[in-house]
Amino acid sequence: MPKIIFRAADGNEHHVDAEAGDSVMQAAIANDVPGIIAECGGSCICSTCHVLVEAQWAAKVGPPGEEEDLTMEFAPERAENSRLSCQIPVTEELDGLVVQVPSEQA
Amino acid sequence: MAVYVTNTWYPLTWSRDVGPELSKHRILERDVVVYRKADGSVAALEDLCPHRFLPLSMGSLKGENVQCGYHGMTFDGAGRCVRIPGQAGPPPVISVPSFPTTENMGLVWIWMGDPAKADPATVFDLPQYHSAGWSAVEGDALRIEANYLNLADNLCDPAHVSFVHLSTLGNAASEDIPVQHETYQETVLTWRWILDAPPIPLFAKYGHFTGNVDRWHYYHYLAPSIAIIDFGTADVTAGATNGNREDCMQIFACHFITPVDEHTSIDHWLHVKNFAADEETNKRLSDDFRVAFAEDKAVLEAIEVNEQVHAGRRKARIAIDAAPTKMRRLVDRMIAGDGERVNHAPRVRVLEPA
Repeated sequence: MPKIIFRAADGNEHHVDAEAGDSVMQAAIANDVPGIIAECGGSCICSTCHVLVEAQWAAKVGPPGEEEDLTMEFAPERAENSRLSCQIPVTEELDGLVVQVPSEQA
Repeated sequence: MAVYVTNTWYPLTWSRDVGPELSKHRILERDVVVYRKADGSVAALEDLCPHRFLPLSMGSLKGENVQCGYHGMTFDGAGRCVRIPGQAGPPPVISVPSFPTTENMGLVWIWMGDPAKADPATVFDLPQYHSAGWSAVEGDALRIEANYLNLADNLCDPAHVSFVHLSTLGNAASEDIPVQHETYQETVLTWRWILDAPPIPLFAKYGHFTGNVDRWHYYHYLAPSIAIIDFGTADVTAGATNGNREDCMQIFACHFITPVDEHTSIDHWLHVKNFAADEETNKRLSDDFRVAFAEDKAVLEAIEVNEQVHAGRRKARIAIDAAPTKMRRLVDRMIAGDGERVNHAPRVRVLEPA
């Protein structure tokens, strides 16, 4: 099971065992990770599962899609490495992925 | 003042209501006076005398020309001044802005943008409206105190019928069936099929279905102000999902929206159906639509009030908001590109089987 590490703004970390095929958002919700809200349930509409991908993982995670990019207009702490976690599928390759959870969602 | 797409044909009013007399309208926050000329065409001028700014609609029609009700300045159907009483010589070059118009599907359509771009061939058309085997019935001009894009939200949103229109267009069988959507060109298409379920009240009433049915809703929103709702019902054995619409009841509920201003819209609605009905049945069917659209009006007007009370407050965004969100992005893009935009004749796409 790939491990995903959610790092909160205060430095606290949540280590989660994720199911390959789920999204990173689903892994967070299944494990009650604070700060991942997912109001729209993974429809790429609400921007409340926003995460910042740690630099060393950026290439493996890849850039946002077009719709995702538009939806992230709502994200208050949007940065270069922003992604919506509902749009990142968990794969074995992402074992150990570290993402930062912003202090505020849209 | 809000910003609008201007280089497009907007529905203004029913053709049946435009004759050789002045009628006053408001669209995109502009006042317009309209009348029918002897050749049958419809003249549309800004409803404002350039002299003292009296609405021209308070004046009178003198033959083909509009005479201001204050000092008698007179303008022809193209807005050119043709007479200034008490002033010698030919009238100076003074004019009132005029707007191109065309007519189709029982409506007068107006072009509020660059007149040079107004091509009547690009007005909306639904071929079934004119086809044998289909019958069209005009409805009302329903005034809704709500922004036209909030009405457009509703028309990109088949999910609401399961909750708002329980006596006419919806029933609980569809509550949890996800809505699908796609955008193409300047259209947002939202739809869902509800399979092997009881018919909605409206089709139960007119359709004589004995058992469960397959039914569909395809909401075609042709930005910025047209929505065509294709909905229908067939026996589960009829193969409607495979594209067979021969043995089905199908209705296009057409909404032609006049954006009056930021807080007011007029929904000119009509329905086109693939079954014959006598006048009494048509009237009852229109009455059913009246019930449904009054329900939408109540919802939208209450929302409009709350939006103003809670201006700036964040709204929750849930899965069914996907299509309305894309609709608003599409309209924003059209507004941003309004100057360069070419108005391609908007049409309802012929659908593939489910």
